[in-house]
Amino acid sequence: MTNEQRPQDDRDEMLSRIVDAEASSADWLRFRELAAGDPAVWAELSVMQRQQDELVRAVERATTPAARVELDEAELDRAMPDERLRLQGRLDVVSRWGGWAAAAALVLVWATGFRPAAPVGNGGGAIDGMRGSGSFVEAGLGPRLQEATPSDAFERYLSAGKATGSVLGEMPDRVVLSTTPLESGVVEVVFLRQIIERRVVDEVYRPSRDEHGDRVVLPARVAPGAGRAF
Amino acid sequence: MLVAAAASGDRDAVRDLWQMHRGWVAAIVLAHKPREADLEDLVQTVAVQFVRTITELREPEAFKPWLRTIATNEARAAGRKTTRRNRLRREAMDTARAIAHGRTDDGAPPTSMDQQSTLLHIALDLPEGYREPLLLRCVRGMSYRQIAAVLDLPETTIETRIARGRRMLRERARAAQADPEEADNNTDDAASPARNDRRLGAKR
Repeated sequence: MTNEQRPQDDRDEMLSRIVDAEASSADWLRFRELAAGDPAVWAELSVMQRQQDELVRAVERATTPAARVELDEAELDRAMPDERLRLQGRLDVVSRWGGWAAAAALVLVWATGFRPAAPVGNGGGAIDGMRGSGSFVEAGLGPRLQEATPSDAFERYLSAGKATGSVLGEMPDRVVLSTTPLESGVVEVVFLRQIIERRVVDEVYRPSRDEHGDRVVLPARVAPGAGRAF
Repeated sequence: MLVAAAASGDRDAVRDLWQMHRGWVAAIVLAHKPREADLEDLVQTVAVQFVRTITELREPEAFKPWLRTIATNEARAAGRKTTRRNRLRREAMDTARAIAHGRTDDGAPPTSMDQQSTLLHIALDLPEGYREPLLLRCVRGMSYRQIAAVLDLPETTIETRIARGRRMLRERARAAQADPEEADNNTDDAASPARNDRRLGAKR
């Protein structure tokens, strides 16, 4: 900044503040003094004000549609799903998991001929390597199961399953699907418990679709030592 | 605080925040975008980026400079995509604008809207450091302090730049009235971002 430029800057800034209605009383005093000696300052101010008005209108005209752009709700959903959507997302997970479970059950059926709907306790579904397939029969639970509380029955299922090797354990984390405050001041929590089971089967199949889009299961090759998770 | 709420994923706060600031965001994009790029499309892109990254904002007090950076980045990215075809189209548009601005021999006087467009055209060719605060000042309700917050500069710097920008605007508008051809040469020269930066650097 040169010494010659500063007075010009000061003058421009003072006029600019007047145009922008940000002038102080000292600015106005200086303006009157300047205008008393040089009436052209009035014309300069007038030009600046007119140009500012025109520029404001031009900018408004140029930006009006753009300055009303709304956020994309789909983008919002992706970036920060609300509680309802979070729940839906979890239900989708459950749904997918349910689909996998259904497909897995189907695969097991194809592979072994086992029928999960076999009556509990009559041993009708138990076959070598597939004993029980998740039923309480495999876990060594008898008719007394119906008399137990759900919690007791579940614990018995876990311990009996572990004893026979068909239940490896329960995942430590429980997936909360929803929490709903109830009128009495308590909170209803709906959650998933995830049990890890183990089976030894003769063959494995994978769910797929045929050329018509119908669901089918196809034999899956599993290379020795290539343990693969779902 | 609205910014903090938005950064924590409050969707209503995100919407409110965008509505409060989209006006000056549009002005920033206008100040930086290439002429061929569609302003509305670019602001939409900024909105998408805003939504995607607001939860990564760690310092709520830095919100305005942060949003301004998104806006300038998107506008500059659009500039990099400028192709030869676009440049040709720009030349054709300049010709059309020249015709619309009464530089033909039909003798019709320019209208008020023409003058506004010409003035905006000149303002958009000012060096970046001047055109940005000048355009922000045209967004209704933006004070020097608010502009300083967006540009992350001292208020006194904003005052100086607006005043100098207006002086340049006056001089170039006067030159355009006196000699449209010369004014065209000047604005074409000033349209080079590298030259603008050098000029601005020299004046800083």
